[in-house]
Amino acid sequence: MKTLVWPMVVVLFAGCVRVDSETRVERGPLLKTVPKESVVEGGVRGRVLAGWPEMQISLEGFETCRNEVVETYEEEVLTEKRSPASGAALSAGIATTLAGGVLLALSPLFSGEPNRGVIDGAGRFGPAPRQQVTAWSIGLMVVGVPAIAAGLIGLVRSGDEVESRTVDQVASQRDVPCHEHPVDGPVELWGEKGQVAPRRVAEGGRVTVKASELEGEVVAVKFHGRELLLDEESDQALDAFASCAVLERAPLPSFELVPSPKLHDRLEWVRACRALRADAMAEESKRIEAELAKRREQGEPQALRPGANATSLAEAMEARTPTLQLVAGSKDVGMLAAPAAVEGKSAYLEAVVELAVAENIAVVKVGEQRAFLFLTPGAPWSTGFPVGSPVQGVVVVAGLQTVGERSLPVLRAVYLQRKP
Amino acid sequence: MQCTGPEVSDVELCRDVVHRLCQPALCPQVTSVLTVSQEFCETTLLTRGGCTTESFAFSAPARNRVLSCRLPLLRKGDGVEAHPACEDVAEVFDRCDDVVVFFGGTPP
Repeated sequence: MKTLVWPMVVVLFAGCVRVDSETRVERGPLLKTVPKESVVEGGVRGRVLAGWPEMQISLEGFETCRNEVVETYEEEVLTEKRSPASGAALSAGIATTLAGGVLLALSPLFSGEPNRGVIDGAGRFGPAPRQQVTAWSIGLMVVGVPAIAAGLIGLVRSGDEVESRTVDQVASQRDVPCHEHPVDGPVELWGEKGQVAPRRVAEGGRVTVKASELEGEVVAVKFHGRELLLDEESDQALDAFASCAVLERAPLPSFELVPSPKLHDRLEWVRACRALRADAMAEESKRIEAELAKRREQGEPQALRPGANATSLAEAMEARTPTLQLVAGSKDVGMLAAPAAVEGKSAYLEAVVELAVAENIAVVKVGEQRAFLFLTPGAPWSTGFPVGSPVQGVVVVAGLQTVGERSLPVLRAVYLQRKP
Repeated sequence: MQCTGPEVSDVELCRDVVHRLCQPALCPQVTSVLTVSQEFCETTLLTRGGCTTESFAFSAPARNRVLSCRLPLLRKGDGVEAHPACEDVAEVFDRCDDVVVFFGGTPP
């Protein structure tokens, strides 16, 4: 049992001694560079070969061949251990142990006679001076020896450790599709709102789609329910084929009644389709571009303007529903100072004709604000407004116009009449 | 390891009790209960208790009983010349009739 006492004391003190540890890693020299090749999971990609009136989608399964360059470095792990209290504990322990030892050595020099000036409660004399010195020396050594032990353990556990090891690091990585092979399975063409062609099953890695089967624009090709990867060339071919299919399904004999936004959409389809059917689309492309250019200069065709055929103020008000009140005293009149902000808005107008600029253009005055008023040539209500006459009607704000030296907001009349 | 001296003999213990009780100035309880004067207090009590001879040994009361009754007298210090407080002397007389009788007094 006694043989276990000292090891246990050492273990207990080792646990009590605080040792601060700091570890840092230092990168050493490059030892070698090794290329490494591996094959990881790939996927399925598609290629679109568009013709007219059919397109072919080929499906290709592939794996990913990964080429890595692995660099091997030497690395040193430095661990510094410090016990900041061990020095103080050691010096204090040595001092107290020495003092205790000296007192113990000198104890025979003190008197062994008991202190007869004291008799305690148990009926005993007080301790002899030698007894007192011995007790003090033992007490000092009881404190000092463990302090020495703690200090020594701290010193033993302090120090630097260096561990060398090699570390692999991927310096570069390049993934390349490889081991391509045709794959079969269900193929679906999807538009914005759902499937736009019947589901087909690829055989021998190919599937053919006819233009007459397409019911709308194609935004994705799905294989087994998952979107297929397409390269840029295939994307363009798919877009061209789908555009041609849309145009083929809805031919336009006349552009007169087609609003401009729809004409722009059609022009985009025509341009996309030209990649596939250049000759067939050339004529339509020119016609649409010419019509749009004409509208830019002359505005929308009369037939497309709401209220254009109004024959009374009430009809015009119903067709346009004015959102501004351009009458003397209304705060809306102030908005004409910056007409761009209210361009395209309908307004109810009460004004006085101030000046006739041309047959269908006049300067009118609303309170203190002046504006050009454009009348529609040929409209049954567009005459009979002499200078000085009060007028009322429905107008559309059409920006700012400069005529001669005058720059004024433009009001395009939807319907106008003399104010009773 | 004990940090005390050797055990005192019965006669030394008896003399210590008498010495503490007779420290001048005498407490009134000592005068009234033990009926002794300041001048002859120590001689009278040593004689009444029989502690004048070196071979004296406690029988009734026993040594341990005397040690127990003596404890209040040490409250002011265990030095042999310490004067006990008079209320501690009164406590001894109240608690230990046999010690009062041993010293020839009349229990209160």
